[in-house]
Amino acid sequence: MSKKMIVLKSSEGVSFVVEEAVARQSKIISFLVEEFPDRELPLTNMTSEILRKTIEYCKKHVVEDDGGGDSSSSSSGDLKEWDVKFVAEIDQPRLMDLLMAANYLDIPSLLDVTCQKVADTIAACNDEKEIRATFNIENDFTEEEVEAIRMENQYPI
Amino acid sequence: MEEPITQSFFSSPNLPPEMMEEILLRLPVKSLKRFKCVCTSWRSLISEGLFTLKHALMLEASKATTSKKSPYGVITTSRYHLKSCCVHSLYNEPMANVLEHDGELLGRDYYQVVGTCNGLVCFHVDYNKSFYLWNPTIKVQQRLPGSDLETGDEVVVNYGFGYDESDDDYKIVALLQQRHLLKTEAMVYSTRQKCWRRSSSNTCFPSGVVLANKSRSGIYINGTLNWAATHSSPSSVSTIISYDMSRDVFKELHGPGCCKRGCFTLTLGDLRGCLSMVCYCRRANADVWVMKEFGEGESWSKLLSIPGLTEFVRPLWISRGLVVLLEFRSGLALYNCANGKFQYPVSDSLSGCRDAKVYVKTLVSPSDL
Repeated sequence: MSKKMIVLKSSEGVSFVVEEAVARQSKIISFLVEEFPDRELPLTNMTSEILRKTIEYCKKHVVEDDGGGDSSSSSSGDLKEWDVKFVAEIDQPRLMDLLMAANYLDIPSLLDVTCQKVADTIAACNDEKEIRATFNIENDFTEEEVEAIRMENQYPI
Repeated sequence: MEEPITQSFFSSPNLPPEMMEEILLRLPVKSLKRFKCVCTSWRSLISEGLFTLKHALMLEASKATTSKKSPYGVITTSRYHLKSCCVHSLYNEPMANVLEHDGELLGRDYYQVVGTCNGLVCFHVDYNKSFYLWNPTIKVQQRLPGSDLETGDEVVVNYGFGYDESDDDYKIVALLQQRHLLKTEAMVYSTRQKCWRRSSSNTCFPSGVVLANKSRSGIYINGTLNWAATHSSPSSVSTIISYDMSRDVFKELHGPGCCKRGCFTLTLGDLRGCLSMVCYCRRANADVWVMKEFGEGESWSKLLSIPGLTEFVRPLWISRGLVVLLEFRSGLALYNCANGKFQYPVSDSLSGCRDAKVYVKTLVSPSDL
């Protein structure tokens, strides 16, 4: 039995042919496939690079429905390790794009791992200055406000 | 000075605020407190009550799967002292970093820890019969007005503490058992209403069921409080009484199938978000069972067996490497399932402690309820 394929098109107009089961991890694509069968789906706000990454993730996470249905705990542990490696290899700006893609396509598990990776990066920063520099955030506090927050945080945790 | 390294994500107009929230929700309390001062939008988000609640619920929910131990702590009481320690520290540091909280607390007296939920510790103080809510992480404490409850001498009381999601209300449940009548009455305290009320008649505690002596406080899982109990007839058949916080009803849950003659099953616990039960099988070993899907009697499965152990023991935490943190002999112990190594006590400064409970480190403040 041949598997049903669908076509996803990136913002550069590059077509990706993907197994339907793989693409259906995105709730949006799942919906679109039902509404518009046999049409290629344009994803105009996703670059080819990010779309390729997203598909790579979905391929790894597709639930193999071959009747066995034996999902042992060790394999879910392996998957977790794979996820950690997957996001570790992506640089900061692309990670952000991937996070936005996960949100746009509505892929909860990918959103979770990308958000967690960004959160870990924030937690690893030494101070607020480092965060502002890493993520290019403008400090919009007055001196007095900064001092007031410092006072609030007197007690250690 | 500061070079824009990349096209920024956070300052980009495309970033929906809910994405920033999704990211910040995954930070521990320590980072949230430190990084409030990054910018005004971070500060206002982190200070919101709803954000705080979502953060707490997320940590509670991820107990089962996370490999991180740092957002979790253990609170214990030894009569007149309350002490806490990070789960991570108990597992990894040769000298666990135990904090004593005596100086921070009002109502200094004989403490009984009733339960923990969303980072709040509920404890009872003997001398004024009152209940207190306390968040050890942010060190905020609140006496619950109107929570004193007079009980007669002939009444045995078991308490429980949990969160009613439908009303966004933290509640204390008191089960008052008439010793000789085999009759149990339930009272519920609401932190919103600030008073006790009798549980309504159609939801009453099953008759002919007696709470197990050692069950003490109810175990809060999935919006329910659970106590180990036995039927008076047929004699001594063990059961679990479960109270649904939102629906205000009691029901019975099936215990693990192993409980036949010769087994004692008196200890319930919360093991990383799963209801756990310890069975002392044929007085030869302690088996730890967990209910993998809460409410599904079929989902009980034996997690581990500690040979030769017949004393009171309650599992508190289990690591991915299958090392179990146990409440044991008025202290804490670590048991390694792989090699059978038993370490007790884990920390000298925690000896003499009882009522150990795991709590999550959150920003939920008892004074904002």
